[in-house]
Amino acid sequence: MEWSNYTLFFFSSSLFLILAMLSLLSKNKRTLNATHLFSVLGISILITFVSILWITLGRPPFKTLGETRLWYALFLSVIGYITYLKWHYRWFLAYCFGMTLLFLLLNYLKPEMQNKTLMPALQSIWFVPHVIVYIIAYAFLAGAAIVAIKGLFYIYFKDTNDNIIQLADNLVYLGYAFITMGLIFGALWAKEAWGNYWTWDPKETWAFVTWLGYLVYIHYRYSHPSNVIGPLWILAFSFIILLICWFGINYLPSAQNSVHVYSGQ
Amino acid sequence: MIQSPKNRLNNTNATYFHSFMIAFGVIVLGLILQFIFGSINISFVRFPANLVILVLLVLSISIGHFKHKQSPIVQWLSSSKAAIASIVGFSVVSLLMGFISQGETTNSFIRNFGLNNIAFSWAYVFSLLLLVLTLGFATVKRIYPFRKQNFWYILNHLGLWITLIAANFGSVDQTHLRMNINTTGYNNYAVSEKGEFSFMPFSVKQTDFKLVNYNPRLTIMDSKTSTYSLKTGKNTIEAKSQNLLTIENWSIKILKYYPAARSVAGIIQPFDSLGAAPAALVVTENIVTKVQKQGWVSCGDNLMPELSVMLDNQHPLVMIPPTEKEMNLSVSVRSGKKEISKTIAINSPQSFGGWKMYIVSFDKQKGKWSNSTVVELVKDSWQPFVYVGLGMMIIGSFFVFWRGKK
Repeated sequence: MEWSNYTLFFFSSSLFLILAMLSLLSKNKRTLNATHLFSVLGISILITFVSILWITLGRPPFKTLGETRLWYALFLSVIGYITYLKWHYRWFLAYCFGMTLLFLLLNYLKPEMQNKTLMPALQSIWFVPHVIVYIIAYAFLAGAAIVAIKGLFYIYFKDTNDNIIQLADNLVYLGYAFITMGLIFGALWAKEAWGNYWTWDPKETWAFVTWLGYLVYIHYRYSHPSNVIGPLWILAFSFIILLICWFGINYLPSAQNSVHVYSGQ
Repeated sequence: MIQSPKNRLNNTNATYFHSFMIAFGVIVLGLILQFIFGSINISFVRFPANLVILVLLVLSISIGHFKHKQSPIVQWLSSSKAAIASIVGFSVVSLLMGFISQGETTNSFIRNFGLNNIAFSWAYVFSLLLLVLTLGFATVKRIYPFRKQNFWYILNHLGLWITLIAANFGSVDQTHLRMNINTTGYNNYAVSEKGEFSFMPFSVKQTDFKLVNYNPRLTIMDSKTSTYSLKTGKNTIEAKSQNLLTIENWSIKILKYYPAARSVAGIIQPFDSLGAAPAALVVTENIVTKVQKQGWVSCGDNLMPELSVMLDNQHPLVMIPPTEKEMNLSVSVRSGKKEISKTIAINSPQSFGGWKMYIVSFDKQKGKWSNSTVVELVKDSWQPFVYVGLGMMIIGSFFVFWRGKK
């Protein structure tokens, strides 16, 4: 039904994203410029699919893991492209598109795409902003994590690269702004829905610890601007916490009754 | 993120080692006190005690900053090392909450150290206090003397400080009561979580209840395993007139759909009252054998049997009970001679004289004909301050987004 067109969109979008990645390898300037065309086409197809899905479902597609994966794929590609436009890091665009393809492929191979309806508690004006800012934040911070891993690799096996930590800073600040808003929107929503801002629900707890992790990074970077290794490790570690928060808690015994545990059914 | 001379941040003699020793030390101290004295008696910090604590906090931060700037304690509390150590300390306490199930437990070790109720433990309070102190000293340093470029720093830090204070003190002062209301008369008593009765300054009566369900979905069951043979969304069909779908080898078409119906002597007719259930008339065809079947499918209730269409010996087509889409509760509230009507929905509570009213549950047996509802009444005097703090942080995060690391 609603997802039945996915195959068509999946293959056409993937094709353009792969072409964009291939053209990144080129030394020829004209071929390199084609990256822009392919990127815009690939992303536009994704946006079209999400829009059609939203309209046909009659609700924002944020509930199932498959749907959040779709958004993650979309925002990773958009953020990768915006970052590329601004800083021209080819490897970062390639990484973002690679991750986009992975998430699209997961949705294609394992369609947990039930047209699940939204329970009343999720029907709130906070729902869309809360989830969207979180997904944007996760995409920025995933970018920061890959920058951290690359940076650590350079430091331990090659020469240090000063630009790396600058890019990490840029991504963390962007991601941090969004993660802060996501956390606050969630609290305001909970107050409207249940009368409490914060109940230390496991997802809330892990989201809060994730937020604190990036807070440590920002403060450490500020007070020790010349230290690079420490902050990169903090980034890598914070992303592990983020991953636990995102889907790791589905497997934690402490989180069995969380309202945030995604339904894969 | 942080402006101005860097040496001001790190002019403490304490090292990271010292800072972390202090941050973890207060947690260990908290655990020891917990073991000896048990959980903190929260009623001890209720209003006005929390206001006194707040005044003492503000005073000690101000006096520390203005009168004892050179004191090693103040220098440490204002340093970024103390900030980082206190954030990590509070993260550790939060992580304990993330790993250990909160609530009743039979494990005496966890219970003795209060690890199943960390938000009310000494370790939580101590590490929160340390965080509030370091955050407070860092903030006051930017407020006096004030400089324009520190404006957004102050928004973020003071916003968080106000939020932490107001949310934590607020959670102590908050009152949550449950009230049963119904259509027969006005009720004015409510029950606390501990089961204590209290009389409210107003009485409430249910005047109307509207429950809207999503259309139910039909799916194929495997009668041998008693499970839905096909779980994914592609394999359920929405009960809606003229809807058409092919599931595995069967094409299914919905001819008629009644959102509420009853069965009278085997005849299905629309009937909108208690005991009715949704029903769909379907025609199915096996694509391979071309065998056609027609019949009613319903999830059933008192006036309607559960109905299915057997597609073959093993696979009945069944209806999954509908899920709730929205509910609206209309109430009449009497206070003295005043009487007002309000409508409450999920995500849309209503206020009466300082109390907010939320829907908790309704009579599921009666479904959309429910004539009684449980509502939650919440009083939270600190709420405006939490909103101020969160508002400052939202504006602050726009600055973080816009300016990045400048």
